[in-house]
Amino acid sequence: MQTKNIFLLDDEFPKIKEFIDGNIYEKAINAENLYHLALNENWKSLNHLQQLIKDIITSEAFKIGLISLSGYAEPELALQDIESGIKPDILIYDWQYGAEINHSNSQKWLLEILEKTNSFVFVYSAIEPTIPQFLNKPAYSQYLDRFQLFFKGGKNPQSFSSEEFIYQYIISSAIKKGRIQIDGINIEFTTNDYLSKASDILYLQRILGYQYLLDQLKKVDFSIDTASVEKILNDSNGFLFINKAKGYLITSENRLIQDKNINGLEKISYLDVVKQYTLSTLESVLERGILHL
Amino acid sequence: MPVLQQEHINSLSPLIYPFEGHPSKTKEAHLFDGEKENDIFLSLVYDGKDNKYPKQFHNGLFVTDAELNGHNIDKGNSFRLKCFLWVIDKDSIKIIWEMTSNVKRGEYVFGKPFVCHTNITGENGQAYIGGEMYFCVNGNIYVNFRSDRFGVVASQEKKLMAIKYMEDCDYKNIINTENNL
Repeated sequence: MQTKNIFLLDDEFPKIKEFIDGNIYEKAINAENLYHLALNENWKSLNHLQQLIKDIITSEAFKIGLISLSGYAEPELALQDIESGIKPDILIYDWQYGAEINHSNSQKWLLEILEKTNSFVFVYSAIEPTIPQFLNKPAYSQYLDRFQLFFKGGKNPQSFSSEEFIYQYIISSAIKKGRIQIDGINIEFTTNDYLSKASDILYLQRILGYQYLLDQLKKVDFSIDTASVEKILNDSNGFLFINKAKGYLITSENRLIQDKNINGLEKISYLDVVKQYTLSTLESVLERGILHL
Repeated sequence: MPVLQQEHINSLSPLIYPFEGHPSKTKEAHLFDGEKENDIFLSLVYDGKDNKYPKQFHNGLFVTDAELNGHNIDKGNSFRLKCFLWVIDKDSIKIIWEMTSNVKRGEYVFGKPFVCHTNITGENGQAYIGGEMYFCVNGNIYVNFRSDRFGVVASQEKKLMAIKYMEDCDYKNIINTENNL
């Protein structure tokens, strides 16, 4: 397996004399030094980031060399490394640098990172509510599938905290197993026939509903693998219709069936849809009512 | 005849809230943060009563023949990059490019940091009906009713009147993709 290169950009890493004297902050800060800071320094309001660093470095994936972690106190240092050919797979990008108030550099650097890499970028900030106005712009539209905004220390009550999400995203990008938390509950995750990353569990959440999924997870001992995904989908008793001749899937309650007097439909369970197509196909049909295959 | 006339309203009524009448989805359970607000997008929403291309439209957003077939757009499937979302609200048709960034939504609906129909209407806004539209190089405008918030529950009568209203706004060569089922 290939090592996943993680860049962490933040100008508020604790500054200690020993590191300043050694010019540590003027280049990529290696994982050992990041861990030193995480273990020994007061990160104040960045305690969530501190914990994320600890979690990554103590993970099995890091220990066996599947994750490489580098910190940068300035985006320009990271861009220099990118220019020299060191490409991150995942980049965690703090939005605010210094006292800048118009956010122009934050926007410029982010765009440069998106243009010069294929990384997935977590835009990570304590001022998250004000950022959309800067990112809801055409320049970023072409990269919409490559970045995600997160609130430092934030929590979406119906799924992961920001740091849990970032952590599990990194871990499951590197290895096939991991442990994720949903609403404080530990869930063992194994890459399976249906979900490649732990974050894909959000498909199940959107398809089945949050509460139903939580109830079902109890029945599978809070473990997500091929068998448990099949059980959860099967127990939902959910089904669609398929028109094999014309090649589309349609929701069972879609009023087009009556309005257009559609015949030739066969029942197909959610599980069979996912087995024959994908989980995202099932989600699309449920969202759109009908989907041509 | 750009704004809705009584003839249109009669067939398009009633106005509905997002997911109203949906057999399995509700606003409370299925509308996430980032999908509820419209104020920050209003400047990008185009009032189609003037029958021109939406605000963010440019020549690169014309659907090519290859894309039309490759993505089954003429059968009602989605091609997000060139998709325009529309709703007909109490006054007229409102349109926005689906790939308009909505990073807030992406926080809550991972992988979908772009706008949805409720970013036109707002959480508590109503619309008669909604769907998607695609402007094609062949001169056709492909219209569907694929909106779980405002389109899925629409009756045939509503759909036909929505198409008629678009034609009354002087949009030409509208193809109702449901005719290709």
